[in-house]
This record gives sequence, structure tokens and C-alpha cells, in this order.
Amino acid sequence: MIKSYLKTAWRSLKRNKLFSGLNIFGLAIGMAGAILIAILLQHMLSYDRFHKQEDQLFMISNRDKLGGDLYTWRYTPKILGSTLASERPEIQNWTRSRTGQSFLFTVGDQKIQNKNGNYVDPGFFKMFSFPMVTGGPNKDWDAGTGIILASSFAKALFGRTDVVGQTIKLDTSSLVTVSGVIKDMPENTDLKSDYLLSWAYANRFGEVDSSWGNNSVQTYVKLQKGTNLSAFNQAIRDVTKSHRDDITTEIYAEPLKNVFLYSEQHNGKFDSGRIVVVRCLAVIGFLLLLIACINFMNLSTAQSERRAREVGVKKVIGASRIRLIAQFLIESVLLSLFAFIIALGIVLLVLPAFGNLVETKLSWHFGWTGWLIALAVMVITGLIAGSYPAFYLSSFAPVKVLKGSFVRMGGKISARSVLVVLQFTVAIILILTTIMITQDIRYVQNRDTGYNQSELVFSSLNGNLRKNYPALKNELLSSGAITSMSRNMSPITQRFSDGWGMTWPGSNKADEKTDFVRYSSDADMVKTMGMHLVKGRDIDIYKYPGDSTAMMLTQSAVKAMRLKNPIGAIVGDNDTKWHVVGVIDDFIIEQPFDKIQPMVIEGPDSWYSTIHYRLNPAHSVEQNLATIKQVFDKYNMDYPFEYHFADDTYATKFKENKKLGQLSMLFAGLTIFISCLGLFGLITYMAETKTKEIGVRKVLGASVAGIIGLLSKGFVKLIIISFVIAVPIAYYIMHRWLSASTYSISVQWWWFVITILIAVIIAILTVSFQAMKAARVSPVKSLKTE
Amino acid sequence: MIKITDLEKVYRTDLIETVAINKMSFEVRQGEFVAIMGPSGCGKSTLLNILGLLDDCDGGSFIFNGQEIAHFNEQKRAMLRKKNIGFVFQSFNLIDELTVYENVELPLIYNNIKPADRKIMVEETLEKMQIMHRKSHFPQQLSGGQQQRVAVARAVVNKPKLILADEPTGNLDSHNGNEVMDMLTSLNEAGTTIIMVTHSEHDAKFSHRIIRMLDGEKITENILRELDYIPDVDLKSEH
Repeated sequence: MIKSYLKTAWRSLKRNKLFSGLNIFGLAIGMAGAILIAILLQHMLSYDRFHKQEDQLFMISNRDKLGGDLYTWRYTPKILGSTLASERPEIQNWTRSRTGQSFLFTVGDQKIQNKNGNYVDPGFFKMFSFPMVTGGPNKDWDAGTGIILASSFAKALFGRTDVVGQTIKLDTSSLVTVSGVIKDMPENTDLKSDYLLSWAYANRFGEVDSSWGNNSVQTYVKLQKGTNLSAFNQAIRDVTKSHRDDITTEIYAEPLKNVFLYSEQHNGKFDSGRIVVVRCLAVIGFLLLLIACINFMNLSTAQSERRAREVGVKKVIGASRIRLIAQFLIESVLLSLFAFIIALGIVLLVLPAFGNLVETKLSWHFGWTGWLIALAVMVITGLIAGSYPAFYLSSFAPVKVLKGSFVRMGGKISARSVLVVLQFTVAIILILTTIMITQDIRYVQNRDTGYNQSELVFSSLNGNLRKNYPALKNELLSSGAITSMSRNMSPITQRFSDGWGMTWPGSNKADEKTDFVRYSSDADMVKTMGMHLVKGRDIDIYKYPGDSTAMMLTQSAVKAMRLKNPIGAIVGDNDTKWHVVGVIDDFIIEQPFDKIQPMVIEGPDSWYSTIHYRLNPAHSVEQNLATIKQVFDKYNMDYPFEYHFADDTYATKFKENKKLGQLSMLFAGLTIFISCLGLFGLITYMAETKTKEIGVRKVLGASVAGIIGLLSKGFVKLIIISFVIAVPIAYYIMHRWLSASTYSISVQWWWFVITILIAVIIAILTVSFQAMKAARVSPVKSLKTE
Repeated sequence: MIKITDLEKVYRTDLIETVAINKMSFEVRQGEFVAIMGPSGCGKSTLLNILGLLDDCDGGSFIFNGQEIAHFNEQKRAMLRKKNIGFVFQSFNLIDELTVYENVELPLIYNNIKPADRKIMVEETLEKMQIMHRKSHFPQQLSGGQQQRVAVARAVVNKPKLILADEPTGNLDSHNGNEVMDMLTSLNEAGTTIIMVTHSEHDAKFSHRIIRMLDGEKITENILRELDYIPDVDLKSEH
């Protein structure tokens, strides 16, 4: 019986090549899109899920009220880990982690910089499943004179991995020996490192810090099996408070597996972030598959007249309805299988490109459970896609279809129309979302950053540059390659420090919780960055020796401090009294989508990590950079000259949103494409079934344009109905999306106009070819056909 | 074998009511060959559909093999139909996706006949209908006469006791038409009861009896020749 079903199904597919092709291709595209999303989701959901003791691993977070709002963050005091371990018996192991410096690694002539690494505690190796290739954390490592390398980094440095005991120079003077080589960490971990140093190394360079007020490291713990998390959290809640009276911060542990997905906090809870992307992608994947299924149903039912006689005959000679349903379902599962095979091919072809788009190294390692799920989805897709045609076709009364009085699916709202409307509703929502994301990015990109990014370059203040900075600056200025230079705490596009507890004239207890971003400058910051000085003057340690404790405030800081005459005001921060010498306009240092936080710019008593310089517009960029390189090489010969353009670095802030925009565009495109395949199938069917009508109309004087209009207008009407349904849903989504950022564009009316035009034009283009073909057939031929 | 009394079939729409069969009564004996004639729209196809259990009636009695079946639901009718009745249509109604062999095999599959038995039955029937040499062909590759022969083969392969033929020669030339009529006659002579709807006086002459209809009513009944014998009634039933 099954053999007979399969045979009939196969021959039926072969017989109706166009419809079968459209059906299979549409389904394959939908499946390929869904599989790509599944692979990406699998990657995102697998973050730090591979550790053997995954269920026992937790990260400690802080929670406190700041400026009246509840916040939570994942940086904790350095001293927290060891304190917790000594106080709580549930803790089996613990480690702190903080990104290591951008060391220059030197082995003989081999110099490598900009590698990712972490300072960790010995517990790290007992908690996480990162297997060692050779060696391991030994006495040297514990003492801060050893290093553990990832195998690919060891190969890059030494050309091999059996390098335990070898020496590496870090920066210009510090020597460490290799204690072990660890297998390269997978992509799906937040702890990915090329090297691991112990905290003892950092301590050798003065990183000892037992302050409960300085949150600078991430703290991980491994709890005993079966520990009740809520009871544990209750027990540790007030640990910070118990060690320092003036701090109100509470702590809690959260499962490690949640850290990557729940990356953003609201009201003191990590409840959004990447998980939103995961959910959105899951919905899009499901919709893609659904649209492909709808396409299938539409195209299958469109062929109902062709199949009606078959159903009638089979019923007359004894086929039960159940058997016919089974036959049609097997047929659709078979189609689904073909589509699945094609989809796998498409996925294999486009996976690298898709990985590039989402900037993730994606690989296909489903395992047998993954394959089983994929197979199940394939069968279920086939069953869902085939269900409607199966039940519909099998319901034909034989006496009617054989008598030829089979009535076409009609009624005021035919099921096929509903399906087309559903498809285009989703497509229109996705088009609108794409327009919104791209327009929002453009709007925010045009936001005034508060400084001039053009020809503004920055480099790390490393090696001998600290010592040679004055000479470097003088020589660069006199070379004519730059017009101005400033030493600062961090790149202009990145915040390195913020804090509360500052005091100023008139500040009260409540003000202690106002958070200020910290920045620093030695001199010429306003000129170098192209900022706008509102009041007073720029910090300049060379002109004003007292400026080592000078401070500039941004307008938002002045507002937050409620200072009427800010110049001369004394601001207390970290036991230093800073005197305000100037006020500048706000500038964006963090996310351009967010509200600009109040900021203080502290003088040379603060610290620096970055040099900013403005290129001289009188020369070409290449000429300037060549000159600058010569001078950098002269004063910092151990380090390769590296530089970054401020505008390029700023552009990376839009990366995530651009990625989402591109994904949205990709899937909107796929949805429209699949929907158009469906439309094409339907118009082909319609032209076939209306052959006689077209002939008669032409005999009576209808023009080709009139016939095209007759065939197309129904579809255009459906698109407009889809639009009407999609608009409120899209508006809701857009409103929610845009209101999540402080600085974002408002919903524009013309987005809707563009969308309906796109949808209608695409639909007309899709149907017009077939409509024109049908309309141009000679009436003699079309009437004879009938 | 069949006895209908005051059979009625009415088609209703919102606006009109059309009486397709109006209190019609007649009897068909086992082994008989009955032709039903009448102008287009007189109700003969409707009658055939009711007799073939494809459609239900709105009134009257329909006794099939001594059992009142007028009230049977679709499922029961379908069961009775597939065991006892074979159909031959004017437009052949072969399934294009199946070969000659597979088309003929299909009723046996639906009757859950074992594959080995099916093979014997199909080949036997194809031999009898002289179409064995075309068993691997698809319907589109055959002439009209050959297609109708396949349709007859499909109707008889399950050895039904009753064959209902709806203008079986309507789409054929006289030569092929005669061949089909000869086939039906020999089937009848072998004991199969045949009821045939036709416009052709020539074809009707192959039957024992002609029932003429007009506007849903039986107007005349002519016996052309007497039925020689009444074979044993052995209707297959689920009961």
C-alpha cells in the first residue's frame, strides 16, 4: 500500500513539474532559513553549557539602588571570592576573572600583541572544562611567574605546543615561563582566552586591592551538588554589607548558563539582552517554516481540480477517506523530504556566508539527537503542510467530481485567500521591521557625538611611550603630521571607569549614589577631540602646573551637581579634591542609543591608557601616518605601531543593530520570495482555469490590459488586506523596539507607504508575467482549449 | 437482486427545487442486463449513482440483495459498493499517474487482497480483456478503446456481481464501442448483473430489458429477450 502511495506521489510530482518545483523550492528555502536559524540558536544557547559541572557553576552579581533605580551588574570586588569561600561551606571552588592587559608577547624575534587573556585563580582549572594539552598550573603559575597558553597561541609564538618551561617576555621587561598549554577554547564561551595568568602576576604589579567599593572583577563559584540556590542567595545577600557599613550593595549568584543569554538588566534583574535576539530568531524561523507550509497548502489546493477526478475514481472503486488522507500526507512528506535534502544543500553552501553575516563561527554539529529533531521537524512540516490539502481533497464527493459539477473552492473568503493574506502579513511586518532598524541606525549615526571624529586617531599608551610621551608629542607636532595631541584614560569610544560617592558644593547624602563616568586628560583634550568648551578652559598641565588635580565637567554633570557657578568648585572623588576649570558639551563615549551620562574629566593625578591625536589636514592620511609611525618606532621600538580611527571604532557600536537589520532584511527577503513563489503558482493556476473566461471576454472586446487587471486585482486586494492587518502589529513591535533605547527615531508615516508600495509592486511583478501570457493567448485557441 | 420502490431524489437550492427521480419503481434480477434510456437530464445518471451507492435517495425504498439500504450511511454504502459493484464510465476515469496494471490492481488493494493473489487476478483479467501487452503503459499512451477496456478490466477484476456502466461507448467509435459491448455481454453471460445507462439504441439492444425515463419517471419498460436462468445470489457483504 505504502509502495503504491509513494509511486503515485512520485508520478504526480513528475507530472506537475511546475507546481512540484515551486512547492519543493519554496519549502526548501523556508527550511534552509529555519535550519540556519536553528544552527545560530544552537550556538547561542550552547554558551558555557559544555562544562561537565555546568549545573554547579554560578556567577556572583551585585544589586543596588542607584539614583532611585534598582540596578544589577556583574563586576564585584576582588576580595569577594576568597571571602565567600571562607564563609560559605557550599562553595567547592571559586575564581575571579578579569581581562588581562594588551601585552606585547616576545619570543626571540616573534612579537605578538592584542591577544585576549584573563587573570584567574587556581579554582578556574577545577571548575571549567578546558582540557590541558600539556603541563598545567604549577608553582610558577601560582607565584605569578608562569603563564598558560592556548595551543594555537603557543604555535603562533613558538611554532609548536610542547613549550612548557619556555620563557616569554611580556611587554618590555617582565619574563614568564610557560606552565602549560590548554586546548583552544571553543567559540561558545564567555571566558575565551589566548592566555591565562594568575592573579599573583597582577599583584606583582600593584594590583592588590582589598577594597569592598571597587567592583573590578567577575567572580565565579562552584557550589556543592544539590545546593538550594535561593537559600544560598539568601545566605550571601548581605556579605558585602557585613564587611563595609557604608555600602548597601547586595550580592546573589546566578547560573553561569544564563550569563551569556541574559546580558541586559532592568530594575535589578538580568532579564533581557541576547535572549531577546534568541526569541526573535526563533519566531522568525517558525514564521519562515509556516509561510513555506502555507505556500505548500496554497499550491496544493490550487491543483485540487486536477486531483479531484483521481479522488472521485478512487472513492468509487473503494478507497476510504482515511486512505486518501494517508496518500496525500505521504505525498507531502515525500515533498518535504525532497525539500529537506535541497535545504541541507543550501545550508551547507551558505553557512560560511551566514556565519560572516552574524560574525560567529558557525559549524554544523547536530549529533544524532539533532538529526532526529531535524527529521522530526521535516516530517511534521510535511504533515502540517499536507494536512489541509489532504483533508480538503479527500472530502470531494465522487458523484460530483465525476459528474463534472465539482465546485471550485470559493465562497466569500476562500481559505486560499486567507493563506495568502497570512503570508503577506508576515512579509509586510518583516519589511517594516527592516526599514525601522535601518532608519533607526541612520538616525542614531547622525546624532551629534559632541566631538569631531574626522581624522581623529588613537593609540595605546604602552611600553616606553609613558616615559617618552613629552618627547613624542613635541616631535609629532613639529613634524607637521598632527595638529594636536592628548593623553587620556581610554579611547574616546570606550568608557573605562565610572563611580559614585563623589562630593561637590551642596551635595547631599542622596547624591552619593549618582553615577559619573570618569575620563582623564593631561592637556589639549578639547582641541584634539574637537569638543565644544562651554565655560572656563581646557586642562593643561604644561601651562598650569596646578592642573594635576584640575577637572572639567560635562553639561550633564553640571546639571546633576546642580552647580550654578561650576568654575572653581571642588569635587571630591577617591580621596582627591579636584578643582573645576572648565565645562564642555556632552559627548558620546558609550552607546549612541543611550542617554548620555554625566561625566567628569580628571587631570593628570588620574591615569592614562590612550593617546589621541588629530591628523594634519594639510597632508594626506597616508603621509601623516607614515611620519607618525617613524616617530612612534623611535620612542617605542619594542612595540609595533598600532592606531585606530575614532570614526571606524565608533561605527562598530552599530554592529549589533546592523547585524539585526541585515538578518531582518535577509529573512524579509526570503519570506517575500517564498510568498511570491506561491503567488506565481496561484496566478498560473488561475490563468489556466480562466482560459475560457479570458477567451469569451476577449471576443466581447476586452483589452490585454483589462485581462491583466482582471487576473491581478484579486491579488492586489489581498496584499492591501495583509497590509491593513500588518500595520497595527508592526506598529506595536516598532514602538516597543524604539522605546527600548533612549535615543531613537520615532515611527515615520512614510515607512508604511514605502512598504505597501514594495509589497504591491512585487506582487504585481510576480503575477503580471503569467497574467500577460494568459491575456495574449488568441481567443480562438483559448475557447478551443476549453 | 435490486428492488426500488417509489424512489425519490430532489435537488434543492435556495430558489428552486428540482425533482430528479420521481417515485420510480422497478426490479433487476440477478444476471440481468438492463439498459436505461432517456433524453439528457431525465435523471438516468442520478438513478445510476443511487443504484451504485454513490448518492443517497430522498425517499422510497431501495432493497439490495434482500436488504433495505436506503437509510445506509456513507461508510456502509462504501463498504457494500467496494465489495459488490464495479463501475464503467463514459470518460473512462483512469488514473493518469498509474499504469494499466496498477489501475486494474487498485480496487484489489482497497479490498485488502494479498499481493500474490492480486497479481494472479490482475493478469487473468488483463488477459481476458486482451490488454495484457499494454500493462506497463500509462492511460495517455492508449487509444480510447483500449482505455475503456482497461476501465472494464478495473470494474470486473474484483469479480463484482453488479456492473454499472454510464454510457460506456459514448466516447468511442463504433468499432471500439462494439468491442466494449461484446465484453459486457460476455461478462453478463458469465453471471454478472449489468445496468447500463445509454443514449444508443444500438447498445441498448445488447440488454434483456430497456427502461425508458422522462423527467425523473419511468415511462416504459421493454423486454427484448428473456433471462435464461437466475444464477445463485452470492453477494459479498460485511454483514
